[in-house]
Amino acid sequence: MENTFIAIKIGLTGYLFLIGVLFVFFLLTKLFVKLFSRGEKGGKE
Amino acid sequence: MLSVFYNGILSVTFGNIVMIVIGLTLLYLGIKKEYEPAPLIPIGFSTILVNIPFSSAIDQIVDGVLHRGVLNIFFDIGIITEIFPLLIFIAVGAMIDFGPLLENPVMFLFGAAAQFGIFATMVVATLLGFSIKEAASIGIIGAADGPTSIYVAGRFAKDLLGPISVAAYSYMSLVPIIQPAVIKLLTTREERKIKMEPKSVKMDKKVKIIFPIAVTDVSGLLAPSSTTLVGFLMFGNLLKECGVLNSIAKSAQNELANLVTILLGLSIGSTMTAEKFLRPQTLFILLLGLVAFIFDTAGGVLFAKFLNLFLKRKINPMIGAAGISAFPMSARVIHQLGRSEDPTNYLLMHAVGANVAGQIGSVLAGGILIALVGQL
Repeated sequence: MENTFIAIKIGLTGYLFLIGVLFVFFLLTKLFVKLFSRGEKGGKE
Repeated sequence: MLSVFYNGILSVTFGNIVMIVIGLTLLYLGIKKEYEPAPLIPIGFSTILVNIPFSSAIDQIVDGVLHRGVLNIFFDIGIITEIFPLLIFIAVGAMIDFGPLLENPVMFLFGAAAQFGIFATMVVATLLGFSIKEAASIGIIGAADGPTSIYVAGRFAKDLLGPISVAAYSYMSLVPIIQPAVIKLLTTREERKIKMEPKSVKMDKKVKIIFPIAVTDVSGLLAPSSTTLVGFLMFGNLLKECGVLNSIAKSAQNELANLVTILLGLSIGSTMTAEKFLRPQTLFILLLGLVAFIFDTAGGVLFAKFLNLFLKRKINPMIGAAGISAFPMSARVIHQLGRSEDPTNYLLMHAVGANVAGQIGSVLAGGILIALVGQL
């Protein structure tokens, strides 16, 4: 049972950390694409 | 003197026969059913090789002297050193187009959410009596990514490498069966019919070149343990996107991928001996692999439904399920499922975006697990 508690702790930490890191990627990519992309196809350039 | 020739036949055990049948089954699945043939055929064939009594393909001690078998040598130089899975990452990176993800960066979130199965299965595995390191290696089957599973299991549970690899590749090929069932259970028909506008952003070439470098740097700074995994994946992608190494990129996509897949499969097969494979744990691992894929899909779908609570433009929750790493199979499955509900619904590019995010998510998850479990 002790192993299970450790696994829950690792699982929660790992999962939330992973979501956090990919959230940072999301923000950075959004910013990055805004800076470098040339607007939407067929839209205003 | 002649006993040399019939000793092998006389020494066949029931375990050897069962394992040879398992090897033949893997060959059947790979050749006849075309379930992940590239890894399953080498694994199946080497399973037969290692279960022939006194096989010279694996280590044998004769008169107290160790005679090294080539499959064990492959295992030592490719799996123990982690070289083979890392080389596969270069090949995979050279095959991926991150364009759909760059056009729709919100898909990054699904690449994280759909890794839920890794962590949830790890907890379930400890309830079945596995140690933390074994449980982490079993949970990583949920990465839906063979090389990541092999990389983590090679570090924490070498004895379980055979069943973990077989489970990882088998369930990847069963994505078209597993995912639709879980999605239908968790979504309404109306939700599955949600249409998503196509995103068409003209991407500057610079973006695609900088992206793999930036991802490597950022993930390395936030999760240093993932640097190797993410770095090799992104290096492969840089080869593809830089535009000046087309011949090398093609070699990575073809020759490197093919050669290393053969060696990786043969190396994994070297662990498929009767004494290592025919244990109750193997059955648990195969079951837990299925649990991991189910939890992954559920995690992605439920996360999309959660996001929809706050969004004006709703996301089709099926897209969440494409956040697993099984690329491009999962994206195709989601697209086809969407079309079966509404033939005018075109979800492919969104699903591909989530799917390639899943590639990044799965290798990051592997790195995070190595860091968290490795320090115990």
